[in-house]
Amino acid sequence: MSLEIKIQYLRQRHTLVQLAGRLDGETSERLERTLMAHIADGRPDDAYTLDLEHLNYISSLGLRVVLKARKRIEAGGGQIFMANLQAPVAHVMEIANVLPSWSLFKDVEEADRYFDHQQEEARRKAELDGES
Amino acid sequence: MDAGRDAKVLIVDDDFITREALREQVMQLGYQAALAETGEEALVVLKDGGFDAVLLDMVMPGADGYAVLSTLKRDESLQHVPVIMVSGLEDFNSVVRCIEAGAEDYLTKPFDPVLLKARLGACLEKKYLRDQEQAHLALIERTQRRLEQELAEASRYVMSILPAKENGALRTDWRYIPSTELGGDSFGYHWIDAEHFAVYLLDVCGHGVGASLLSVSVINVIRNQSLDGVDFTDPAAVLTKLNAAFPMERQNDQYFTLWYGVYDSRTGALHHASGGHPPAVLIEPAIGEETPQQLHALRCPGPLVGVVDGADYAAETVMVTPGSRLYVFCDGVYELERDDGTVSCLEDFILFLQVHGNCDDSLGRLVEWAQGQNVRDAFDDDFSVVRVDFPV
Repeated sequence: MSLEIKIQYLRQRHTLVQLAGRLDGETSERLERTLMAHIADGRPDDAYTLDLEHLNYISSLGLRVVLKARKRIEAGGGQIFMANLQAPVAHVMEIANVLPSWSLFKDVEEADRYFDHQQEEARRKAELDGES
Repeated sequence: MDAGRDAKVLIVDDDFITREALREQVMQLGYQAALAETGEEALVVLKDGGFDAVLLDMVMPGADGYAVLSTLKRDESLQHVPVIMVSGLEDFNSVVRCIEAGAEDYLTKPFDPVLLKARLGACLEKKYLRDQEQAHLALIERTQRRLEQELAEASRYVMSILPAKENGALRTDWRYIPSTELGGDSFGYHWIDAEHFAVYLLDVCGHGVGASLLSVSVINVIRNQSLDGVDFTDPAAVLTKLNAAFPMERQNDQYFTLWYGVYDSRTGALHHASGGHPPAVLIEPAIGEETPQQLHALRCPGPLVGVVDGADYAAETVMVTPGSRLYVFCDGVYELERDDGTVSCLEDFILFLQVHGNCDDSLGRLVEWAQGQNVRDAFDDDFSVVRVDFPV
């Protein structure tokens, strides 16, 4: 089984990465190339949401790509969230003890609302700082 | 591309004037020319090697053009030298016969210099490309053989550092089946001192040379206890220090999982810590009829090793009942794709251990069970498991 990767903008500076299928030794290299290129082309503080609704398997090599992407994004001041985590993938991530450090959302809309809220808070703070 | 540089052409013709005319033309085209008066002489000269094309007269006394061509095409060392038949117009049927026998092209006498240039040029370019291809193939084959030898050597090294089986009061056994020639799993156990026995199994993400290099590095650090200021009887300290020493950004973005336990033979305590690794399973023996066998999953969760900067790992302690058996393993032992597309899981493996975990040949049965679960003949992931029998 292969991996389908779809990338689209939810809004400015918030990218949705939808994965469907298997993220394993055969498919992880393509995801790595695609994601790293997208991260390099974007702004350092962009946000990303991984929509895992249709991802039914992840291997250690797949996890490596996800963790590597996270390190790159966060090194630039950006954020990365996970949404729609399914049981088989969640189980692997639980054993790997990866989940506690992630921002997990029930669905993509929730992740987007969270990001929007953050942006709004940041704007208000900037305005207040400007006034004072 | 300069296929013509240094090209050497053999001109075979019993007629002196034709030979000389062809020689003059060939040299004017920038090639080297050699001459043979007869078919027999041509075959001797060609055997010395180094020719890139032959201009071969059809009609000669003794061995004629067809005979020379047939001999060339039967000789493995010469069959790829292109041959252009040179003939009179009345020999056309013979020319066709020669083309069918493998000649590249033909020229009629008196020959046209433009056609000679075009046809000889085309033959030489084709031979040049073929020679290049053969050279590349030979290089690839040599490189492939060298890589295979080096992989086999590396594989022998990895197998050589796997631990010998313990057969004292404390007994060990293990199975290791890498998914490729070199796996990312490694494991070991050793007596830290007279009282403390360490057992550990790690799994680098992926397999192959890169994963194996990291795996061997970490195992050697643990076995040789070469981390400064670390008490190797303290699993939490070992994992914390390993996490600091092997950040994934400095390991080609590779992380690893690890289960590390230390058995204190004075007290019977087993201290353990892990980083992103499946739990070890401790099987306590049944005691009479009142207390059945019990299985415990030993896991003190910690992050994948090398991923979280500054992570602090915790350890837990369990008291080992005499006669207990410990299994430490990687996820390749139970994460197996079945025929129906489902994937077996840790719970399936624990069920297996409940039934077979205390048998003498449990590891053999485990390999059979895993092979039975697996849809393919070979495992997709490394298969490694260590079994420790504690003193009775």
